Amino acid sequence: MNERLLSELKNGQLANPQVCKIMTLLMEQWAKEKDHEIKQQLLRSTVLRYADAESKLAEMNRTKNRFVGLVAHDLRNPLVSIRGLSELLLNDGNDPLSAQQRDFLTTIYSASNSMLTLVNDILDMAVMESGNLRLQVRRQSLSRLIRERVKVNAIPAKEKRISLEQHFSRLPNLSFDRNRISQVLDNLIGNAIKFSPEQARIAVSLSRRNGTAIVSVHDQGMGIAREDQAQLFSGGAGLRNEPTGGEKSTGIGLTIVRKIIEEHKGTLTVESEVGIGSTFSFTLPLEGKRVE
Amino acid sequence: MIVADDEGHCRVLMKAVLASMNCDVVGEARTGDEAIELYRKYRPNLLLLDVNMPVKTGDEVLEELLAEFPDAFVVVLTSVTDMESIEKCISMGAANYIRKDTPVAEIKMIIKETWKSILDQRKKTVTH
Repeated sequence: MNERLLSELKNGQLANPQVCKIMTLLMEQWAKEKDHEIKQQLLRSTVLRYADAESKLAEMNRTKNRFVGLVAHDLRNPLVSIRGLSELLLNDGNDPLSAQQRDFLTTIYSASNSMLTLVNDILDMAVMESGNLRLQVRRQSLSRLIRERVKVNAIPAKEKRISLEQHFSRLPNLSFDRNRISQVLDNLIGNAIKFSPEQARIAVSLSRRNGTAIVSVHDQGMGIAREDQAQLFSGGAGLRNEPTGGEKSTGIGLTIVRKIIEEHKGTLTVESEVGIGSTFSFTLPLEGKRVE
Repeated sequence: MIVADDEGHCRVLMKAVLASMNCDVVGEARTGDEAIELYRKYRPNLLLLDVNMPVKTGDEVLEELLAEFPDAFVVVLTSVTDMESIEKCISMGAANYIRKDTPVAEIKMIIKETWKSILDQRKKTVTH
């Protein structure tokens, strides 16, 4: 049947309604094939574009990592030396400084300390956003680490005549990354010192509840307004509180703290009341039966 | 004391920290090889050793030194990026480690406390 229709088509018998029908069928078939071909071309082109974008993204990521490495080594280490040497000169009792020298050195120390905090925070954020935060978890005593960090933070607290109290419940050893949890404790205790008035009290406590260890840092600072609390763990842009002793705050420390705690399968919370104070608490899962 | 670090400003800082603790710095090394050479020459009470150094890395120096001087008191200096090397150095026998971005007052505290615990351990060993 179709062969007869094709033959009529070849012979110029276009008026035949059957020829029109087959013409329509052929056109439809052609259109379908063309449509398929175009879709295939589009798909190939999308795949190529995607591969190209992926390659560019990988290259950008390598460039970023090289940059982060450069910042880590070539910017941070000199900053550490500038801060450390200015600190040593300021505390050198053997060679008294003039008021102007002391003033200049205090500015150098304070500026380099702020820059170092910022560089460290940026590097931490870069590591965390690239998913490369690798915890070095070991079973150990959390109360021992807290005692150590309280002792270290007592040095800046003393400058504002702030007292640091400790309250511990008896807990088994638990698994955590010592350096990262040190960073968390330093941040929370450091913030409590920064945002507390002179002669205030700060309490650091360790307790247990429902299979978790709870560490709380309670201060008698200015407190945080309820509407500001939501921003605390997401960069802190727009927060109204300022440190009380002229200290600096990058605002991203708590974002880093939350990521570290979440990596440990814990939670970070805040309770605060304006004019009364704040309590920042984090939990870490308790496991095993070995008692400290 | 000996300070080993490939960065001049880090050596200046660590020497100043030790001087503020009334410690004598008898030598400073820029490479791992120099650190070993100076250690053999002076047998210091303390070696502050950077992990990331040219020629020989800190852990290579540590391995070689502790094989020759099992009582060597070595505190490892590290950047945040070298933290993974630290566990290795501690398991090899380093007495402690100090992150380079640690404030001076805390660096002094770490050195003092580590030195005290080493002395206590040695006393116990002698007593037994």
